[in-house]
Amino acid sequence: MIQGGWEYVRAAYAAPWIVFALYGLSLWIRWRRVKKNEADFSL
Amino acid sequence: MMSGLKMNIFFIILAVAFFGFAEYRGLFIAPTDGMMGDVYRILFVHVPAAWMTLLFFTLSFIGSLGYLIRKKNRWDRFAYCTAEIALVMNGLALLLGSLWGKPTWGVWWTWDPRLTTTALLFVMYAGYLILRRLMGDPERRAKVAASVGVLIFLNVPLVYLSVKWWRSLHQIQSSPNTMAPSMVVSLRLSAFAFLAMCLLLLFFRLRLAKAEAALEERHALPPEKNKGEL
Repeated sequence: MIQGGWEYVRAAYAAPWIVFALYGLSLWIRWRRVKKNEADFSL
Repeated sequence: MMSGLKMNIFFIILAVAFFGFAEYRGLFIAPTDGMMGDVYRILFVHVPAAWMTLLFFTLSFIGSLGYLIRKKNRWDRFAYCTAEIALVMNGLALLLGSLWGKPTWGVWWTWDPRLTTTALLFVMYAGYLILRRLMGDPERRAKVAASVGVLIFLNVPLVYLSVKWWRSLHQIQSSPNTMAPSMVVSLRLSAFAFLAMCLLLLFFRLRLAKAEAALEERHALPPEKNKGEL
């Protein structure tokens, strides 16, 4: 049986949180940019 | 009745809590494996990420086909939004596979058929999204992207079948018959948690795509047509 390896497990369980958070953040930043462009365009 | 913002926050909290619970179960409730020890727990995040990759690329293929048949922009938007989320899941599945490969195979990466076809899938869909960014005319872009989307989907069944066709280092698909019941529950729960997160992201990505398309349309219109329309 493989002993230990918890450092890999911990990294693997942290990775989805980081990826989801970063992708969510990118959506939010793009959303803000579109809304700002909309506002600029209407001026 | 809840407002739109409150609804959004409610569903975000729900999906995140569900995801947190599924991860907790995979980490602490699922039993230790007899051969791989605790390292096998990576399965509960790696496999769902791979499933979401295949599912969302399939949805992207349906969107591309839908556009080619119906010529409606919402099919095009659906195709590239699902492709973007699938690409994120694809990258995650590769990363998690690498984290699993090191302690079990002794290497971060090897040119195994499953790994190679999955990496190729990533490159192809990254190319698909880059191609979209390079094309200005929305109608032409949608037409070309839909054709490319249908063509590159051919690699998806290849990824799925690669472990059966070329028996190599990567194990073949697990089934509930080859796993302990408590492991199966953890895996299914984790898969649904990944699905909930991906559907949530898809909802926001589609809304963003709609807003982007509306803005692009306004920019394309001559100035007099834009007066009083905002």
